[in-house]
Amino acid sequence: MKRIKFKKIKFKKVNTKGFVNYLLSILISSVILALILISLPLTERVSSSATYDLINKSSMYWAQEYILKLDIQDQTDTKGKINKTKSILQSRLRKIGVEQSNISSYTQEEGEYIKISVQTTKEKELIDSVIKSPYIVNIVTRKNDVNYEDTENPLIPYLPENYNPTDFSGEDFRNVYVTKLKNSAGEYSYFALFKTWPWRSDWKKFLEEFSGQTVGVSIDGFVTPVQINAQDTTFAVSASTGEDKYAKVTDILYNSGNIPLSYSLEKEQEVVADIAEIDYIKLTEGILIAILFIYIYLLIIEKTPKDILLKSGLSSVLTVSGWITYLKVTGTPIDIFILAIEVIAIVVIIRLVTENIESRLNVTILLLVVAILGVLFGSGYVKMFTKDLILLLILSNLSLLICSFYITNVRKSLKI
Amino acid sequence: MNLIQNVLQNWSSYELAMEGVLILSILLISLLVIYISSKNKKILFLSAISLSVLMLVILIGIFVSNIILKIHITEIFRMIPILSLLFLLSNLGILLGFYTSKNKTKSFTFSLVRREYFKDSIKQTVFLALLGISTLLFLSPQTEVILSISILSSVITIWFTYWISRYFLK
Repeated sequence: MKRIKFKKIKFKKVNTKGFVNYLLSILISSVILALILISLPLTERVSSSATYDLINKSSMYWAQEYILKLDIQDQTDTKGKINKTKSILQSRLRKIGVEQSNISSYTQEEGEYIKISVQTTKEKELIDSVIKSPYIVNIVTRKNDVNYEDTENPLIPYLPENYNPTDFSGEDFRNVYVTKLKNSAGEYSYFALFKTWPWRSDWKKFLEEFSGQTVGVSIDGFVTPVQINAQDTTFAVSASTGEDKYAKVTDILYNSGNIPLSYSLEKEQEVVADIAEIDYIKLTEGILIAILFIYIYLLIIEKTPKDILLKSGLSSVLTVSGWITYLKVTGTPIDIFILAIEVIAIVVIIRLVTENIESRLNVTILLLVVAILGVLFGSGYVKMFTKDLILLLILSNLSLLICSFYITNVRKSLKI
Repeated sequence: MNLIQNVLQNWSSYELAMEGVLILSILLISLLVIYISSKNKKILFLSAISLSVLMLVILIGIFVSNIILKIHITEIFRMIPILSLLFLLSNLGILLGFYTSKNKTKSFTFSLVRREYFKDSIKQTVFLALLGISTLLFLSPQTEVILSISILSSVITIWFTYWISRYFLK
């Protein structure tokens, strides 16, 4: 039988790498174009299927002034107590994320007052609860001669005069942990778990003494009855909320220090918010024109190499448009003046790093130090700016890498 | 003195402490990073002086705007030290990057570092000045003041650092 010989089919070696690079270049071009289109102002009007307009925080601001009258019974170290009260109030406001707050104290007709000016986008109800009550915590025990089950007077268990004071106050607890636990109805709600120092034997004795009984936690003239569990030494007080935001407020109020003075709200009035109004559209046009002219200047007058200008320009465009697209798509509200400062700062950084590529790591680390510490210790606008800066630094470094790859590939493909 | 009195009276100890901790921790950790990267005391001292001068220039800038230009100092002005630190640290980072990339080469001298630092500082100054001036037209007055003080204080400090580097980078 004759054997049939087939001709060997020879495949030409396909340049897979080149093909993938070519595809990637097309993909990057489309992504850059899409990001620019989405980030430009008013482009959301092109499509009705998606709403991705930039949310400007300026319309969300409200401003209010609160006057608190201090109740000074003990005249010793009044100045120190007022200063401590101011510090605690300020730390509470900062922890809740208030953008702008100013606290000052003054004396008027022999009375001591604290004036708090707040300008924020946070919910007014939350700010009110942080300012209006000092949250002075005291542990109280039941009186023997009071009928707490009196159905004709249901307020009896909640009034402090029906309880005996103890030596325990908010200062005796190292931390109050607010967490979700099952309540008597079997549903989850927030509770505040009081934690004292391990060496505080007096608290342990107190819990043992009142084991199985009801005591109370008095906060600003209102008592919450607490049943001490006979089995364990957990001291859990109902936070009277199931909502996360109110639980956060409760956590802040418990754990931001103990206000040494009692006070009452004397006056509160709405004031006009002082906002740095910037026209987002004009600003975008302005920054774009400014950057374009600067790059033309650098090219013609400064004789900066085209390569560097192209890379830094494209990276800047990619970073800024990527950032604005992120803000638009996620619906993150932003102060336009912060956005302007962010854009200016990142354009400067990208330009510097592109021209001094050997310094990229050093510059990024140093700037990350500023940003991380700003997030940890800063407040208000500084915290917002530095938080965004961390993301922008990551985004700018990624953009630089993508743009280097993209420019090299496009040059290879176009043979220029 | 109005500004200092105002700060002392109206700022709570919490605010003073937090602002102090923020600025001091940035200065100290930045210097630590600079020393770890360069392992050179001359660059460390130069950076320390540069950062201290920046803080002084910012303070003078805020004073001038408050007392002479009668600009009301608000919470937003806390952005100035952060912005200025960003601009100055990126400048020092470039000096550091050039030093670490060249210090092991045979032809390395500190005058080479100074020459390169001079070129980079000119470019950064031109870019900052142009960007600052061109965007001023579109920003709100408050943002303009913040940006102007930040850019001016960083540029002054950058050139002071270059001037004083002749005594350190020998």
